[in-house]
Amino acid sequence: MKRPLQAILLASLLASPVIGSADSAPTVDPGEAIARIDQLVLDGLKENDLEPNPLASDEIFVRRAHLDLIGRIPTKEETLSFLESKDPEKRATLVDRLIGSDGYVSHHYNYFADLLRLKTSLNGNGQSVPGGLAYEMWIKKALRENKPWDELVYDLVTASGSAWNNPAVGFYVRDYGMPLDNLAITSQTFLGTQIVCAQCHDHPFETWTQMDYYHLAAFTYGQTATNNHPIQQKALELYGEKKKGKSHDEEVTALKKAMSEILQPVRFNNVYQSDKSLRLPADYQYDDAKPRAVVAPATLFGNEAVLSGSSQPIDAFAEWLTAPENPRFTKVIANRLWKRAFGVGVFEPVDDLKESTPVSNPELMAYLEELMVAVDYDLRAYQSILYKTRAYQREASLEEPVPGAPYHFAGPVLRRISAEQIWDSLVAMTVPEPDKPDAGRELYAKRRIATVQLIAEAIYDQKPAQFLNNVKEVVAIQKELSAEIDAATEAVAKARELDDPDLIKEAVKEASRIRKELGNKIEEVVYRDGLSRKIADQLEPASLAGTDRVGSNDAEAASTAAEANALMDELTATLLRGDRTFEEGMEDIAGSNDGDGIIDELITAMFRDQSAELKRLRAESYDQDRIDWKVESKDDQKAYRTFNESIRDKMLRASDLTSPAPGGHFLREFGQSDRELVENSSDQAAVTQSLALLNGPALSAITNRYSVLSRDMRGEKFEDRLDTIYLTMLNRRPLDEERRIFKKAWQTEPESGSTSGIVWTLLNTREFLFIQ
Amino acid sequence: MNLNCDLSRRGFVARAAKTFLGVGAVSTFSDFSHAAGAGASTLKQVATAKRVIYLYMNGGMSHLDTLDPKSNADVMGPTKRVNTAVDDLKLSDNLPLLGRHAEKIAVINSMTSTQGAHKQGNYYMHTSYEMRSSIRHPAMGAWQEKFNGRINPTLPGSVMIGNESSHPGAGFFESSLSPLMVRDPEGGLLNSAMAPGMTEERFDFHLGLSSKLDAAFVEKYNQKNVRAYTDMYNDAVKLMRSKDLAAFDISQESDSIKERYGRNSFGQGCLLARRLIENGVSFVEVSMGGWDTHNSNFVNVPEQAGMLDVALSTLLGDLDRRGLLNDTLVVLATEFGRTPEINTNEGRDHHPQAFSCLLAGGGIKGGTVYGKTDERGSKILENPTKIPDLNATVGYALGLPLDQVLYSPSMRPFTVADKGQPIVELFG
Repeated sequence: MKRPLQAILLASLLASPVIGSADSAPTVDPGEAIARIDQLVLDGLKENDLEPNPLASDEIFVRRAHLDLIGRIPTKEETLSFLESKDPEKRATLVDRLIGSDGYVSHHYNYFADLLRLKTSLNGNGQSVPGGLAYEMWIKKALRENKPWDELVYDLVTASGSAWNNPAVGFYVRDYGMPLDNLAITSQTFLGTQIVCAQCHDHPFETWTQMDYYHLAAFTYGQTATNNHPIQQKALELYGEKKKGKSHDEEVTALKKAMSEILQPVRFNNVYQSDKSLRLPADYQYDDAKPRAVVAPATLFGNEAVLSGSSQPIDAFAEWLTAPENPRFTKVIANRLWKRAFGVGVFEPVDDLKESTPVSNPELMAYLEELMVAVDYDLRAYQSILYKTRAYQREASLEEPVPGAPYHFAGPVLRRISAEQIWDSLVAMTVPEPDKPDAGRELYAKRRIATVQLIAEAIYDQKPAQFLNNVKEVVAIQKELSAEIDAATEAVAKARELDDPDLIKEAVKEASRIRKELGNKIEEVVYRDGLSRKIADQLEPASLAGTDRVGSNDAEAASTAAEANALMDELTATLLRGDRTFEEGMEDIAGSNDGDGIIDELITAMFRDQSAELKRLRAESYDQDRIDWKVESKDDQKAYRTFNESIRDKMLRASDLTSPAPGGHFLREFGQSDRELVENSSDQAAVTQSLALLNGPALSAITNRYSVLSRDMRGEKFEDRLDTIYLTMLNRRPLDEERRIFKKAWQTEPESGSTSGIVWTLLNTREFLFIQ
Repeated sequence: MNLNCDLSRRGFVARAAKTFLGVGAVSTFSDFSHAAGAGASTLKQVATAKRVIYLYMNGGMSHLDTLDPKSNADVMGPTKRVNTAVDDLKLSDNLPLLGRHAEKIAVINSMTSTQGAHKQGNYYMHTSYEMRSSIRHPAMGAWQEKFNGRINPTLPGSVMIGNESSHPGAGFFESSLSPLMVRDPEGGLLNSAMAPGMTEERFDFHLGLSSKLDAAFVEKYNQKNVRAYTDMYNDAVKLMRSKDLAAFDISQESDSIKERYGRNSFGQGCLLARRLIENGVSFVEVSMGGWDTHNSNFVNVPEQAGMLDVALSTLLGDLDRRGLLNDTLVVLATEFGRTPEINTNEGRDHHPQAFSCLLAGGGIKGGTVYGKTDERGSKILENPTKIPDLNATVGYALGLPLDQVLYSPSMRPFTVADKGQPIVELFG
């Protein structure tokens, strides 16, 4: 991406590394940018007769930088290596190391998952789980590869295709059936502009009219998550949908019902571009247009979006949205990341910009925007500059900022650490290599995505005639089962009416059994047939020409097609393994009972090696662990097993758990967002949080014989253990006074000198829960 | 804290509020005093309700498919309108069991909101104030506790059951008035027992040690959220030691009653609500998600309403049998209704112009229908009821002083239900 130079660079002779994408000219000198920000902050303070806070100690800094950049407290080793380093540039070095680490990806994923309302079950429907997982992996990959923010947003907004070939479609699938709401959220998230009121009427306080809203929505309206695959329409046309007659209508209804049953598992994973136009609502009440009039796309502010003949409105929209000339796009992300570092934005709230929004330091804001453009929206480069400023390195302010009043950044504000940061800190105290992404989740995601893809491959490429025949077969099966289904449905209703718990339970069970039977038959008839034909085609490459795929017309088409083929190649190889024909392979696998139905069995067969490899690697590392930590006696073995099975396997980073964590999970108790609203996490105190820390399972995990903390304390006496626990939990050594208090306590109550006594005591301090 | 003593409530509140950090009940700023609270209702009655069970339908419950069905097939889709035991009260066929309790309920079919987005609408319904970035208003349960104190001092004044991470809670009031959150009713109050091996003496000793070590930090950062954690620890310990903790444990209920409330988290939440009310929690909210039916309204609403129907009708019967319905107000609320137009996804979109809520028990005259919408359920024809009016009605039932002004720490004046007027006709 080429961008005009906005920062003037003179200091290229200074040896500091130049940040910027490789193919563009050096655009910004980090040293200068840091100095400039510091000066602007000082100017702002001076103007308001305020003094900056003193520089924070190394102890405070090492804890804060880890929490802010990789989402957890540092380990004892990380703490000590920083405190003991004599490198005068050690703070900058630490910032760069953290920004380049896996922990950065995990921590930033949590933030963007909250911002984008990313749920594993993407729109609440079970079928959207593969799409949710694919979206999650896509965001993580983008963060790992440091995809520039403007490109990332561009890719989200223009996404079309299916979860398996363009996971960014999650952006639209998340708001399935709510394209207008999706647009309101796009505007709030990326432009900090709340136009949602104007969805139904002119905005009461701002200048946006309902017409403005519809103009903007007209850009994205064609970009809609849908469950209608074109093959359905083709089959219906072939059947002669338009013929008249009551019995014919009934047949069509039956066909449609069967199709939706067949396509059910791949629902909520697709976005297809269409050119349908947006119309005003029927109750449109203003004089500038008639109700139900078609609305042309037009932007809200800034430049016009350029609609060229060939490109879709969505591309013009994405260009306008993410252009440096857009008056709000850059401002919002620059301010959001500033808030991440300092706890308060230069303007607040970060996502509700109005003409009247006060900006606490306009020169600073202007420079941050300039800087964001100059680094080409490289989030790591931008943050690397913010976290190296002296402004960031100061002590936290003693007084909390007053809501609504401007804050001038004498230092960062005191913050309660987020739910994810607390959880991940517990993980780091317990489990070795806490930043390593969980290979198990990646494999699980791959499997779930491959499953829907395989079903889609079985259906989408069928010739309309073949598909129609299959559908007819399903209709026949449905007819056969319909009496049973009706009876079961009726039984459920009756049981509810009678209010008899046992009857209800039984009726529901029977109804789901029949559904399952139908599902299995569909698998047999449609998916197996589709896949068999496809593989037969694949084995004869000539016949592949002219296949009519849908939803892969964007720039990623080539790699997409390759990925799709990779899955089919894998399937073919699996089926042909051991010199059998693919029909024999199909028979073997279908007879294997290694899964629930043919698709699941095929997937199990295809992933057998990868699963085994993961298992082997895990076992190997555990074996090594056992040797390293001398797990020998029977008692040791037992304790180690407990550690592995009930601690290590559960204490995964928040970013590797279901999003959001289920209700009642530690993360939710501490305010993890439910992912229903944009940035919906909370830092409010609650009784249940105190209870979790006082009585919950965290303590026994941290103090398990094989936890990281326990390993660090092997063989240590009281004094040293106290040091280790302080260095691990609060990232500083105990003060003399604290040593005295503990010693005295130990004499009165021997348990208070035990590891779990000390850990419990510190776990329940405010100092542990807040970032200074 | 019990208010039913010889002090006048007003006098108590004024004094009590002064002692609460940052909140003055009587303005010392004479500039404000003439304007503050102007427009708030001056009506007040002896409380007819001591407790509230507040059922919140998250996402916007379709009024047409539940409480305000029409005969017009064009707007109804497959949903049917059916009669109940009360002549004027018609419900949809999605609520067959509730129909049998028609003589206990008052349906308000003329609710109207100014907020068409979920977050804002939800906030408005819970607080009577529109969402602002500069302040967080208290929810109804916090107001109730502020004025009336707790019935049972060891249990929280209000409890919120369900997945709701953005509840306004105590707003600008002290955080001890925040509802206690129970995400999973069957899990009860998690971590309320000491960890195995811990003794009470050791627990106390360690906690003392903890606060001693933390004293310097707490003193250095004298901030609201830091103080809030100190309060929460105090409350947590009090709660752990209370015999009333059993109120959270629905495993003590029989299987058959659990089955009757419905084996889903909303049904079990209603059962837990009843237990909590019985034990002296004065405000329990149970939320149920899934009402945002932009898609497949006629598949999703029957499912949602099915759970609601079972749980609500069982709750009303259960409260009645136990003699609790007389002074327990049951409220069914949501952020807005849904459009009469059925969209291309067989769904209904947001419709804040007109929707329905329900009240029962706590002095409410049953078998009542209040307000009326047009033949499409689109516009209000009679007795428009604003959201603050509904909250004023709840406050009125509780005997709260609707015109009593309390100030936020930034000295902005607020009343329980803003300018809402209670619907006194509903009391009988």
